[in-house]
Amino acid sequence: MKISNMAVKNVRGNLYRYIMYCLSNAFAVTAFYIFANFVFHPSIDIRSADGHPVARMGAANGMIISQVIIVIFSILFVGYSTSIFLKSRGKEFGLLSLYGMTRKQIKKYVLIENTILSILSIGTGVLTGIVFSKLFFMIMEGFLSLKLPFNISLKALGLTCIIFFALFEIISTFMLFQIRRNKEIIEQIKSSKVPKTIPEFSKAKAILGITLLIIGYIIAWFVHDVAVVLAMIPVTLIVIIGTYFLFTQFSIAVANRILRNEKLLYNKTNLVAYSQMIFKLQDTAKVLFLAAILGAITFTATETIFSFYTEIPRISGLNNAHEMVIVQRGDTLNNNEVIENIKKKLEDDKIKIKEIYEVESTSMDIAINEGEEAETFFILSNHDYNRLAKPLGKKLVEVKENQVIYNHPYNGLVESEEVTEENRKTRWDEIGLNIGDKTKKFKLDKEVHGQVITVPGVGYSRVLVLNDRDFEEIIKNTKEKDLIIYNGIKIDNWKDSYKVSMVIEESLGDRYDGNYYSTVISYKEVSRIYGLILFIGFFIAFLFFIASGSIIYFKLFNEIKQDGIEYGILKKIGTTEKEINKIITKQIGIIFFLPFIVGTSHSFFALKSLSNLLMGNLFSNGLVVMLGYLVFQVVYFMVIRAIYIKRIQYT
Amino acid sequence: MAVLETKGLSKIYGGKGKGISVKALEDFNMTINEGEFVGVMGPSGSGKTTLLNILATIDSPSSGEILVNGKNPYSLEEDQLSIFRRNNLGFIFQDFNLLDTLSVKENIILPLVLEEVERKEIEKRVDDIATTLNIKDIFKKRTYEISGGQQQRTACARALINNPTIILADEPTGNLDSKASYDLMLSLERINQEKKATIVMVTHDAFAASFCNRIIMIKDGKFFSELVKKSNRQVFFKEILDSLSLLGGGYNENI
Repeated sequence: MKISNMAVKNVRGNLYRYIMYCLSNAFAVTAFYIFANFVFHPSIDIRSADGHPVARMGAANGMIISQVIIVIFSILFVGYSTSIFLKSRGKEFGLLSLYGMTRKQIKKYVLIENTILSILSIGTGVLTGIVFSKLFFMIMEGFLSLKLPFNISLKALGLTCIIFFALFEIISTFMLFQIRRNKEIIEQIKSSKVPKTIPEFSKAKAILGITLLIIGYIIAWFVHDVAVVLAMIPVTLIVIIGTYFLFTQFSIAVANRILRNEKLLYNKTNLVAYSQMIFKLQDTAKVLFLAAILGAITFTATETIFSFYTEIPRISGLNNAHEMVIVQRGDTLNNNEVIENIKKKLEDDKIKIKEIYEVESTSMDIAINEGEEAETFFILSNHDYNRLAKPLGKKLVEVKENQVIYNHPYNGLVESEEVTEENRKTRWDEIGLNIGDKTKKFKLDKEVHGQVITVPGVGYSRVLVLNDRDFEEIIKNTKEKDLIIYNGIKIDNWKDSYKVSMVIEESLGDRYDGNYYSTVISYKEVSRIYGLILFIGFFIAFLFFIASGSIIYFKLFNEIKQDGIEYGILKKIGTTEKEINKIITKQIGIIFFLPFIVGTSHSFFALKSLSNLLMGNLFSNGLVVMLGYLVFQVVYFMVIRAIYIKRIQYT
Repeated sequence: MAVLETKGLSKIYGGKGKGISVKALEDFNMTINEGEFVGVMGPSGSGKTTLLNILATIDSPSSGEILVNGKNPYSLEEDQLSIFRRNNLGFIFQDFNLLDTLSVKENIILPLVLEEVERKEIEKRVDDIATTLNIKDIFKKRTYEISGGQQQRTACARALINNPTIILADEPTGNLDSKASYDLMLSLERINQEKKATIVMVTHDAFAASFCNRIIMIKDGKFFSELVKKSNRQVFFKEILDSLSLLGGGYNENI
């Protein structure tokens, strides 16, 4: 038998130990390959004309960045996994030395094993990648409105194989230096049998950990605006250090406390479950720490992207007063049938019209101070303003003669109509409006925020509200070519109106170019971009997610033999299998969900911070993502628990 | 009163057609009465351990039956069997089988905790047994901090704590030095006399066996002979040695 045969047999026999490791690696390969296949797709070539070139290049660059992230992550993951893996095999290496294997041969043996595993991972990964490429292309077609026929890029294939093979080989070779020399063989053979001493902890460090976490959380909770950006790095560092102590010190301290609580401890299987827990916590503290941090990053990133995605209308200023706008002016001013046509088209598509607001108005270019560039103002009568404002739930106004109210359409990200000296937009107290050839001065009464007309539809954003009589006078003296009829259409379920909006746009033709606006069209464009980011984000998040789970799995299964001995003792003295399974469930559950809970809690505070920065509430959407992860985590837990229970042997 | 009975017990390893089959036990009968301290002796491969495993309900007989307090444990379901074990049998193993994640006290009370016995009652019983076995001052210690003799006495205490019908001991002195063996056997003798515990012990060691009231010798899976203690231990020890030389195999190679 050659060393290579031995390595093959070992991998085959211990496949369950490697399976999650292989899966994580395979998933990284899959993601990398799918992205590469996209980047190398002939339709993505910049010279081809169809689709949105900018979005396309953006997508390609996004993929490349994601690939870099995947590679860096894989390096860390493979390095860490190999390292804990080698450490757990001291006994095996000791036995091999006992039979006369040289260190060089042992290294060769491990390297062959790793090579088998890497070929396995790359093979599975690339195959899955090819299978799912089609699906991925279909999704990307949706995002980029571009045809992506199925294609297997050999370049992508080669690149993926070479990069990952090199990565696996180099890292495992590097890690081989960890196989320690000059250690007594007897110590190596006994390495797994050395009884564990009860874990110690430093009270000061445990308290420090909790204190750091609380400080980090408090800062994250209360910091606002620009300070969020400044606080980001220090708070992250504080929380990371806090988390480290939380797992290495505080968790042991808590477990110690539990062990002293006889009432809790002397309760059926708790005695065994909790006593072993303290040792398991000590063994896995660093792994749990890593998993928690990884989880926090994943959760926060995806929750944020998801929030952006669902709140596109608000964040991108798409929550308009009227979802659809037709502005009639110039030669379309008297085109009376246009509204009837649109109504019919909407009805044909079963889009319900809530209300149509027709407003007669005009606009003026006014330079506030001499020499300044003129700004365009939209003029509204008091009556019309109130008519528009009422259904939007805004306060009604009353403008006196010779006065104006300035209406600023954007009220920031916070819904507040309060205008304070700080957020006041006007820097004037008086404005001169043209009536015929004359200019009349109007005094600024006050300023109100929030749009009553759909601003992008009109093309400019400043609105002046005048007393009805003053308004009449202005309109009377305005030439017909400067008159405007604003038609704001409120519809139900505007997100469904994309198709009909496009049909209307076509039917209106060039005459209405720039005078027709439908929110859904802008929305579709923005949501495509966010959707793309979200999609790629989830891809990588999922990779992180299964990788952190697989590290825990790894750690768990390294101990399975020792655990089997202990459960065997329990069985001999009359513990039922059900009770033993309960103990196992408790222990795996704690190890699995502890990092999840900590990660969730971190991301919760990070979200609060981001909400403060963006002046919005990200929690409800964060919760949706969190629930999704929880479902995954529970499934993952059940699978691993089942494998563990199946694998455990009572000796 | 008989607390343990075996009727026509046989165990055959290896089965029909597949390789060779070995008869580890053949038509083995014995009866153990309440309060007895019985030793089972025999050369290597005689079937002692098989017998003990079957008595311990961790291995099932090929034919025949065993009755503990008149009940046949092999008629029970797997989980019920575990509970039966927990309530009726106490075990002492050669390699102690203590959980090193638990303290000495926790190891002892484990069966009671699993049974959901009240804490007051637990404290009372553990106190009582630990006094008998002289291990009270190591309660807080972990298993790796105490000597082999202390570990075995801890295992005894655990076996005894739920007042089992029978205590089964498998080579309890196998891993102990002579002083610790002596202490342990004295302890077993004491729990037999003071607590009226019924003990069945498998052993190689004639010295350990001399603490028993009765010795059953088996050879090649069959009952061979029986010795009953009539006078003091020293005399019994010599009788055992004599019988062992008759038994042959392993014991008389040097004679």
